[in-house]
Amino acid sequence: MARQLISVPLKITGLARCIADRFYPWDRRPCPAWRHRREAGKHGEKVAARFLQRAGLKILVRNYRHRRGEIDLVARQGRDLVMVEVKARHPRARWAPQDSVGWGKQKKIIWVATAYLRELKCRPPAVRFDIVEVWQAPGEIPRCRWIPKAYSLEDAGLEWSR
Amino acid sequence: MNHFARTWSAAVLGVEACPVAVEVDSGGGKDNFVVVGLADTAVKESRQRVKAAIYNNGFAVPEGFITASLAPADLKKAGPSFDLPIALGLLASIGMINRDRLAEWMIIGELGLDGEVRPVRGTLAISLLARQQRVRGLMVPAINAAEASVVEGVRVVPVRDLREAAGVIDGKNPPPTPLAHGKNGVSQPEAGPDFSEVKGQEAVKRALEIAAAGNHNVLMIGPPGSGKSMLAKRIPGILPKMSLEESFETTRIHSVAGLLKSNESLVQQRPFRSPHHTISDIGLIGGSANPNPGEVSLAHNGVLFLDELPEFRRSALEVLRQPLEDGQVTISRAAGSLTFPARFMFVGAMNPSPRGTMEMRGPGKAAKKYLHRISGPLLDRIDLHLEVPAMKHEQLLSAEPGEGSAPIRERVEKARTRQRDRLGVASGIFNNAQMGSRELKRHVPLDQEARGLLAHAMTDLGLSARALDRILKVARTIADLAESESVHLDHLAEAIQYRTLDRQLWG
Repeated sequence: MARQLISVPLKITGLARCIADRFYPWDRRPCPAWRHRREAGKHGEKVAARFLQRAGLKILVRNYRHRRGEIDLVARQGRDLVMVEVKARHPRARWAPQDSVGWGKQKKIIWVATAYLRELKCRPPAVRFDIVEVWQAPGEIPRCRWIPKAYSLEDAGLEWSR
Repeated sequence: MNHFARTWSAAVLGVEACPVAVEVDSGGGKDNFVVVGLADTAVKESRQRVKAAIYNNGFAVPEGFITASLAPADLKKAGPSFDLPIALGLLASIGMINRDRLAEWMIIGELGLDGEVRPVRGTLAISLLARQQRVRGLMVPAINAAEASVVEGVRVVPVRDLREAAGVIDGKNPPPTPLAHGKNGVSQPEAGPDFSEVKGQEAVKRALEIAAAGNHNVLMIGPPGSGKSMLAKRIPGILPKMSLEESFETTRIHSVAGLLKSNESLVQQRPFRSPHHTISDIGLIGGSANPNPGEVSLAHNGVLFLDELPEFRRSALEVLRQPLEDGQVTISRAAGSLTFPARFMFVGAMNPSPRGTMEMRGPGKAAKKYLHRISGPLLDRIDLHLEVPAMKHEQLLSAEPGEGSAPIRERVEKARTRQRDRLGVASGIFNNAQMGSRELKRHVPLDQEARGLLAHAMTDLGLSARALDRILKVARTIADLAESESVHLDHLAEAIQYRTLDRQLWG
């Protein structure tokens, strides 16, 4: 009986969790080892989400999928809806992570974003497209760089169609 | 948190330059670099050069979205001369160099990947523009410095690489050695081939002297090996020295065409252009999508020598008509029309028949066909038609040299001075060949005898009104060479005689 009592974990309330996410640097912890590249990408997305939470963004959806596309993170900052693409790289990689968010990827994200807005079934809020670059390696503390308004519909030569 | 900087540069249109504001904005968004403002490929590629040059000179390229705008946006820009202003604007936009000071400069230059500043075309025209715009200074590639500093009232600062250029804007570097205006790297006219090297052909030499004295057009007809090309090459040697304005105009055209040698400031030697007969009409007259000067403009104030005249394309020869008459070429393209000056002395050389030799019994069928490749209107615009006979072996082997170029040139200069004094500076006409009908009436009065001779000549030779005018001009030049105030009968007779050959051949 007593043993059971001891093993009961501390109850974490929603509020405590929220405060911890907002201020505790969860993203600044050494990365675990991974076997596969896919795990690295997953971890990068996790780190980026924590990083953005700490920056004051509210994460609404992770990995929103629609047919053939995916948005890594959908977040809200103030009145803006933010579509985030996360790119993780090894810290000694040759090229910047943002370089691989090319024109095709941008178009795809924009296309999925329209689908998301349709699903919202409300007047579309102001939408922004950001990139978060993560440099990470097993056992090292990851570094993040946030590029707000990385690209826009006008750059892609498109317009909201609704 | 966008960053912005502006500076000035120039685009060359024909032989004129017009100011271009180079505005650079950086920051915000994903890394990207765009150049806007109707830029051609060479300008668009400048972003690669600019980035590499900035990296390799120890500066950092600002992150984010970089926009370089060249205003006015409706003017087509060509060439790599915007590299340096874009690079400096980029550095200024993030505050690495002083933004306000940069805005007062006019900057041109192409960048190498290591930051070296390479020479550009049309520096002289841009230098003139810089004087008009009253900029604080004009930054030019070191190789173009001599050319730019010809213009007085402009502070020309030569730079060798990007680092030096940035230092000049910040006033850190001591300004490079100031250049004295107009005196740098003036190449002395070299002694070209001399007339004394041509043996015999005294009559032709005399005619060329007349042509040089009045800037008349010449056509030399003779069998192969009679020395036509040799004589033509020696014509620049007997033309008078270029005046400052003339060499200014010529330098401007050569600068736009990129023909100036490095460290050459003004072209002192009269140009001698002898294009090959396969030349296209565009190559001859100038043009193409963004108009470049053609051979007629490159020969401005000099000699345009067309060897083997009938071998030229008919269309190429016909386009010569307008510049021969007006002394300028107007090229109209979709982008707009441009005027290039083209006041040159036309010298043609040809064989009298396809076989090369003069035929005894007048031109035969083949020879006629050959001769008729040259149209009447073009012939009409040529003042002197000369026969260059084949040389006899006695003349060739004789040791005594003919008259040198120097005394001939002296006589020519004297005749030109007389012409200039008579025509007056205000008229804008410097030699007899440029006279219009009004000047002709005033300066070539005809007495009764002369009228009679001319009337005879006109009926016998079937001369056109233009041919008559040309004869009068040549007669005036002959009188000038003889230092005579009025045109005498023998001057007129000699002038008419230079028009008889075409009647015999083309008849």
